[in-house]
Amino acid sequence: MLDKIDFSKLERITPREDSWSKVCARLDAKAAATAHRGNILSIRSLFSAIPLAASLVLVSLTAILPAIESSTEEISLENVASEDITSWYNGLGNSTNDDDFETFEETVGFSYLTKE
Amino acid sequence: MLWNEHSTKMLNLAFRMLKDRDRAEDILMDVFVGIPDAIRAFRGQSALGTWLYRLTVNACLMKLRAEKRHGELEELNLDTIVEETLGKQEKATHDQFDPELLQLGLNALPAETRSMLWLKDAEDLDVKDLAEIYGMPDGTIKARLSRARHFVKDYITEKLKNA
Repeated sequence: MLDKIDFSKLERITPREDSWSKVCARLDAKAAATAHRGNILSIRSLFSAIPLAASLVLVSLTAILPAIESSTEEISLENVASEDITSWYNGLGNSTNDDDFETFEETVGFSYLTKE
Repeated sequence: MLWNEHSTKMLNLAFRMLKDRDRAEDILMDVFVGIPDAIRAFRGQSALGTWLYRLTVNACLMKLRAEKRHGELEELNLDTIVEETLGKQEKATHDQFDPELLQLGLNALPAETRSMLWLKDAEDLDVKDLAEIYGMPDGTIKARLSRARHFVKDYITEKLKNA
């Protein structure tokens, strides 16, 4: 291999005085542009998230609501039982004498069960 | 600070490759503006200075390719010229060359080889650093450097002879 070439006499240049400030200005502009782009992206993602969430809620409500309605349907005692049963039921706990505790006649209760 | 420590060396490298001060300044600024993004790819396997040289070399090569200055990039011409001159000329013995002639000889090299020779002989980088910068095996770097030195010295000898 040949010896090194001596480049020491060749001109060496130095960066211009304003080069660093130009670099800083470009970096600032770039950072600002990136931040601005970030805002736009978050708005975009927000707008896409809202309809998606709304759709999911609608679909789940459509699936769940009929099941809830059918399970919570109330059956009134008055509609299905005779007057004797309802009066006995309403009188429960109203008596002040423990010995006088009324018991429902088995036959009436049985008739209620057979009705059902 | 990164700028104070490396900018002059990077600028001179770009200047040697592009042969134009304004464009070299542009490249230097482009490289520094791109550092926050490029730093993610820096794994600390090489020295920071070596990595910055690589960014500069790549930026210059991209610029030359974009400008379609293919003559600056081709290595084939150099091989042919060196092979021709090696047989005809005796080994150059000059240690000190006229700066203008040296500049001309250096400018006659393809850009990548020119930068390689500059980094080795002017900036004193070792072959391993150059292999890192150019992504080439050590042997290839050594061969290219040897050819480049032959070329420059023969170029100058030829010019002096004809003067």
